[in-house]
Amino acid sequence: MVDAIRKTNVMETLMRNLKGGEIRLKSRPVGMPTEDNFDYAEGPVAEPKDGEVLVRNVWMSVDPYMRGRMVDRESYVPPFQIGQALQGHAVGQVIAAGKGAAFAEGDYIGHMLGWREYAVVGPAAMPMKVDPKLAPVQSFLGALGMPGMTAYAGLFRVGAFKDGETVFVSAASGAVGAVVCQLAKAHGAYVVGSAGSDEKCEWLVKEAGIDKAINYKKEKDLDAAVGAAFPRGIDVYFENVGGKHLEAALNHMKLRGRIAVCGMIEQYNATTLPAGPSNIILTIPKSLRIEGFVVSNHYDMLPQFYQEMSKLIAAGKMKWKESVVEGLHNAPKAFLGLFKGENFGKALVKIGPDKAV
Amino acid sequence: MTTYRRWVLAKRPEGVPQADVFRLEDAPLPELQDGQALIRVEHISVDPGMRSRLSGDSYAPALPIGAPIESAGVGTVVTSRNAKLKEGALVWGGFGWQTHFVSDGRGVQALDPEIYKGSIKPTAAIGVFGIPGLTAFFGLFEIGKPKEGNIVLVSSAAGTVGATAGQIAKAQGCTVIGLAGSDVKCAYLKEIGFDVAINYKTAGDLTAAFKAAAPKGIDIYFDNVGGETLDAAIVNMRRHGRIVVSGQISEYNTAEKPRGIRHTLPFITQRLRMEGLVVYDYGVQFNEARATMAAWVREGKLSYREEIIDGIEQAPSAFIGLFTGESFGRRLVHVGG
Repeated sequence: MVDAIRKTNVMETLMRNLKGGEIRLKSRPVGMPTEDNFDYAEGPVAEPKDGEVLVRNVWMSVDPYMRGRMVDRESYVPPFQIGQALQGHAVGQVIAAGKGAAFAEGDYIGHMLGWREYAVVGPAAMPMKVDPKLAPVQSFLGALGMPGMTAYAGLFRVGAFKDGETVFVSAASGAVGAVVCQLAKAHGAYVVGSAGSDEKCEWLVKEAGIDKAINYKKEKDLDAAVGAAFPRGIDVYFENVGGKHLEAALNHMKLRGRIAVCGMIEQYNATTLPAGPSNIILTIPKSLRIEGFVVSNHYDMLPQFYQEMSKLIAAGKMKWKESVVEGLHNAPKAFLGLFKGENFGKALVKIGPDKAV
Repeated sequence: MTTYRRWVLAKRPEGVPQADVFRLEDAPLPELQDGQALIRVEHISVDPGMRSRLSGDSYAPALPIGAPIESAGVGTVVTSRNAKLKEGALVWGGFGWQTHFVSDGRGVQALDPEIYKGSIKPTAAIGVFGIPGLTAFFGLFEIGKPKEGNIVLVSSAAGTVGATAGQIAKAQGCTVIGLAGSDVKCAYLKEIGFDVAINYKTAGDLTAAFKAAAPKGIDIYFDNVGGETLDAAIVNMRRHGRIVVSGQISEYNTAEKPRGIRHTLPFITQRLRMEGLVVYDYGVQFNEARATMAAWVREGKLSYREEIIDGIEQAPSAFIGLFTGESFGRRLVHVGG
């Protein structure tokens, strides 16, 4: 009893003096963002109220979709506000729990309040307990987190992939693409991925086990390369890039092919509209379906996703790469790297110690 | 009678087809073999979708030079050595632009007298109950999936596909916006129950016009046009909107590379689904759909317009006119009978 009171007092004192850093949106980028669009600030850390927990973040994620939230327009998530901390997926350890909170001190949880060292996490931040025994905790920001779930929902539900079909994946060595490739391979698919370096292509074939990899930066004629890789055509195109990739895929889709539109990174920073795809008319003779999706509509598939992923990880059939930047200060740099093709695998920022309690 | 007349492909068109792309010729009528029937063609259709087959470099298999121009037709069996095709029966099929057609029975269907009676004439078999009407029916229900209260935009709305799709959507409790190329056609759209009719030739900026007509956005776009109109629709789509790609007439005649679309990001931000329709996938349901639509016609919920041009000689000009926007309703050519 006395111990408990003492501990609470210690915690209160600790929290009163606790300061945390965060990255704020300073200005809205036009075209390619720069480091000037971000600000670093420090401030006192708030106490968790009833139902909330205070989390020391260990890892945060940078994802291309965040670019959309920097624009003041309706997107699939509300825009970031100038002068306020950015948000995004993070994994951290609970250091204090308010009354009635769903998590206990010491638990590792994933949530939506990244871009800061400390986060007061309530239900709105969509917290979810993660199991450090299944995989390193940062995996829950990648293959076992939102990107992995995006791959799963996009391939199986939106892409309506069936065992043994042919699958084309762009940005194939990325956080989403790599999982798509290996899920499809595990289901007997013929898989071709495109990536932007020989190193990535080699990893895709040798480690991720796909059938062919196309280095799109080296191909003068992407359309011909895709055609040569798919003599029988494409059943499912998992779209992460847009532009020329989409046009090339459309040309080589099979009858009744499906295009799952997950991302179009080529266009996120565009200030003028790209030309095309000029061949969109092919949707008629080929009876194609093109469908955009956002993972938040598909979390009902989470149990199946975990089941399948645990099985594949245990069997050594699910691999991924991580591209790690150290320190919250460097998070903007990590984010900007997404658009330069610099990252190889899931882009992560390590922003705290592995163990906080 | 030992010869018949037919239009064949004389040369491949570039851009909008000219009359010299077609050649009218007389051909000897072959003697009927066992299992064959001779059909006297009465009405034929002219279809924009046929344009792509006239070119050699298209996605669809090209029609060979010298081959008869293909189209749907209705006619009467005049002589038959096929048990399924009774002499005197009204039939429809892919007869092409010709006065007579020799059939082995494949692809030829007798008209159901239960449907084609009263005010419903046999020409409806290649119009509202033919591929255009069925395209509207299955495109709307299978891809558009209309729900009560949805906002539906239809391009080429005064054409058979568009007018049928719009009226069916209206009957499902949707608000329907139609696009057409003249005030007369727009007045017709209002007459058959469209809530809003936009004359795209005078509306100016289509993106703004769609925004004004559907401030909360569009749930279903039934696309018969493609190109800039499709782009304007894409940026006005509501979350989880559906785009039925039925036709893209603006892209058929481009001698250059087609324009395509520019706006692709809304597919993600609004989770759009766009799907091309192959109506033959629903072949087993055609008769049921026809019966349903015939009931709607008799109840006054579905009307259609035919524009019948007299004389097989007129087929090429009737076809070319499709691309100038002069046609109004299902354009057919009366061949004889």
